[in-house]
Amino acid sequence: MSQIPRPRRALVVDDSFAVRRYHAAVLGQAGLAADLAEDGAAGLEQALARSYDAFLIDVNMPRMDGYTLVRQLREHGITAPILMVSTESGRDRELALAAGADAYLLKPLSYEALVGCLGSTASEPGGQSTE
Amino acid sequence: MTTDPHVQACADALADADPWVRRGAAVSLAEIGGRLHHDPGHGLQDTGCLFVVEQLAARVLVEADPTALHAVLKSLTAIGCSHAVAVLLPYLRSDSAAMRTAVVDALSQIVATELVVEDLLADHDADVRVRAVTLLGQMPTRRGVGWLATLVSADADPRVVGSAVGELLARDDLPTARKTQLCSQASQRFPRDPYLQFLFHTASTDLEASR
Repeated sequence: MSQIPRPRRALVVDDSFAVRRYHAAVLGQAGLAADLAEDGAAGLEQALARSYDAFLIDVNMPRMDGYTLVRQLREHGITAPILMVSTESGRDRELALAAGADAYLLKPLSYEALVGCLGSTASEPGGQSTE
Repeated sequence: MTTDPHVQACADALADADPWVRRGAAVSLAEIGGRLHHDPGHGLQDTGCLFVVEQLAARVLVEADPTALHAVLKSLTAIGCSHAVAVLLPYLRSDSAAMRTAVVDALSQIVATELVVEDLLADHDADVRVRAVTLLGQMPTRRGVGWLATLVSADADPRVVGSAVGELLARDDLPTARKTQLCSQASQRFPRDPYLQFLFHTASTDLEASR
């Protein structure tokens, strides 16, 4: 039986400490280690300094919002799966996908939703460049 | 309209083709508006201050340059009157995440925002209630534990309750036992919500560790 390749390390970007902690735990359940960033600007800095296999990004954050971060990541050539995870209702979904995200999930993030999304987007684990 | 030619010139400059001129005009209007608002001879209803705030508010609607928009929002923040709060509030419902973030940031720095936070926390739109929780968390006064606790016990939307719990957990001035109690309450109200269950579990663990 073939196994679905899974990412190994993800970057969680969210301004809530509690949410960062929770998302790290969910990623851990799915076998991913997590680095944490508290806003979009810090997330961009970390994303450019280290290679990640997936990103979990909030929408509303100080300094740089999630959409801007996603656009910047794509502009820097990062192709790893990006999941936007937000409390915002579904009307933001189109904006997330237009910015370059692979999926838009409402909080709370569940293990099943995470694995489902990564399974469908992570066909090229580690597929990322920071040129 | 205003009878002061300098104020009118600044207001006109807000529509200049050069974003740096518009930025400079916003800064000048902040100084004028702040002086009118804080001068004891003028109250919140002062027509001069109102004129300045209205000019800046109108610019928020159409300003496309991020630097100039930032200057306009910063100017409204600097003036800091209740009318500035009133003109910023509708932008909490903007479709633009950047605008929502900028407005939450601006409102959190205005003392007069405290007068409207309770209404925002009771808004019919759960998204706005979540943003109000974020706003409350960014305000320097760190008030509102009672309001957040009310959300935990009564709000019908688990996203709002989750945001409120997250904010309460971030408070340094709340005992761990009280945090755990609020997490317990939230987890009991929404037993299928994995985030709230996780928060209760970690809060309980933190409480045990602190004993």
